[in-house]
Amino acid sequence: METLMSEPVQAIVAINVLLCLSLLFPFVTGVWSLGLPGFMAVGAYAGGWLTQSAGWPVWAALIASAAGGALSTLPFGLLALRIRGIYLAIATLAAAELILLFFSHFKPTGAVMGLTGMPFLDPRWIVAMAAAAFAFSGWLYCTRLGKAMQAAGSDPVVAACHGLNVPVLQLSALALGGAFAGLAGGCFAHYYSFIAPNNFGFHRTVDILMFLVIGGFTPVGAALGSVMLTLVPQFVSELEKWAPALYGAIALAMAAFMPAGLVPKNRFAPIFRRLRPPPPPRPAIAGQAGRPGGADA
Amino acid sequence: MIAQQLVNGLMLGSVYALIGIGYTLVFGVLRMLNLAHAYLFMAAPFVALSLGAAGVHPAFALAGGLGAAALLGMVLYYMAFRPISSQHALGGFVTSLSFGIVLQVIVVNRFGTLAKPFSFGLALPDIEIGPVLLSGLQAASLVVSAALMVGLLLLLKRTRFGRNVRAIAENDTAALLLGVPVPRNILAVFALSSGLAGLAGLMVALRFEQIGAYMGDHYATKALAVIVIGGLGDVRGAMAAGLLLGVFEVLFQAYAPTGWSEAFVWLLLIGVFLLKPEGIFGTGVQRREV
Repeated sequence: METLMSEPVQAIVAINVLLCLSLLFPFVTGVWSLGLPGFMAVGAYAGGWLTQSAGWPVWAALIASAAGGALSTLPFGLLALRIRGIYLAIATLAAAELILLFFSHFKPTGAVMGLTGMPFLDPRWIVAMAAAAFAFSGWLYCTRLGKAMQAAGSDPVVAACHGLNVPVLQLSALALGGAFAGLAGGCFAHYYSFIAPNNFGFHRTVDILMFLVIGGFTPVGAALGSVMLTLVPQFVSELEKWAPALYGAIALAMAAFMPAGLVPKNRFAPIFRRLRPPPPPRPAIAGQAGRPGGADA
Repeated sequence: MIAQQLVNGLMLGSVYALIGIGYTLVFGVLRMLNLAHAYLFMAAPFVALSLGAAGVHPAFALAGGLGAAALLGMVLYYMAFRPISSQHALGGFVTSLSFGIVLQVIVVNRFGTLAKPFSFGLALPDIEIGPVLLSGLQAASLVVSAALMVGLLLLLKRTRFGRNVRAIAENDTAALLLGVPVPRNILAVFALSSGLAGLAGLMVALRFEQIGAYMGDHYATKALAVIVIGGLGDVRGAMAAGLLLGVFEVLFQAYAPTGWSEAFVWLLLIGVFLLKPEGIFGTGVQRREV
């Protein structure tokens, strides 16, 4: 319990939950984007610079972080429209490297020396934001938009044949992921008060991706996976230096025996079904045919 | 001056090419990216170092490192690729990465994160050709990589094994139906590709005389760029792109502002993806993803 109450643990768990949720929607929609560290870096640097040099209040800077993260997904989105699967993963890895390379040479944010002097953000706020992001993801996952995203991810061709606008869905999932990652970056910058380009290396994607694979591709899975796996090395201190290997071993075992992860099903669906009044009878098929997007949540 | 830079570029490029060939061979037969590759690259010199420290003759220690990499490649296939179904969305991507991370953490906990000296006292005379100065090791590794690349091309083009591998790359079900021993050949490809990674790792270790648990990361991401630029699954493309990237990187480092040699690789990679996704030679294996 003591471990749970300590501030550094709360902060790291909440940031990891935000990051894991940021991977969730792109992956659910079939966009294998590994640009996460790039988006996070954009959010961290945007928020950090705004409070440190431009004198913005922290809350405004965090909004800017999320916006910056979402905006930085645009060029990635252009890639996503052209290529998919493993190819997209490699391309987004490259794009994230470019973003980091930019920050390692960009003088106003301290280049490789990093940026420091950001005001401190109470970790309770980070936890609150992570909880809000979790609730929002759970809600979104149950809406028609969320279901459309899942459909686009499981088979883009069939989804398109059913009238879903797959590229728009993928771009919005990417932007949502970027916003979460940017927010996480902003929180990171204001909790640790120091950021440098090598905070945002490939290792961060690796850990988060394993949380997601082990937890399962649902909001509950993502949150559960990241909370549990972040906490394990905190509780058993001998495990700390073996933590990445532990994640790796669990991911290997899960892929062989439980390929869908711990929580493969959307646990929120029954709750929302109960809350929502039964849908009115649908008009004739003809009225549905030409509807673009279908994402009218 | 420029001749010396070209030779240095070829040196770097041959390492990229060797790693890239390994990646591309596995991608060819399985359609999955083997991300553990970089970690096998790093593991081979550490095995050689441990053997050397245990008093084994340097030549056998190096051979042991190479053998260990090939063996680990086969273990990798059984642990990370064999058990998962082809329906698994992220398939070998996550599992091979996990395998590699486990290897890396073992090395970090056993040897620490600091660089370790790696020297087997292999004294080879320096060679001077006109303005170009080559250390004996550089010359040896250039010769070895050139011989290996020619050998690999012959292996893939001229032997039964090579024909099988190319058949599996085109369509594994059809190959199986025609009597190609697919699982056995895939295992051999894993051993071959991991052996190449191990060899590249040993070459880098001997040249810089120090090794670290993170030495693979840099080369591995560059080699990803190499296989994409050369065309995924295309061995000749990986060789050419590897050598080309090595030369360009060294030239950029010598004559362009800092940071551009890195940025160049990534920009080229994204450009190839957008304009010519089948690779610069256009011969990467094309198969419709279903």
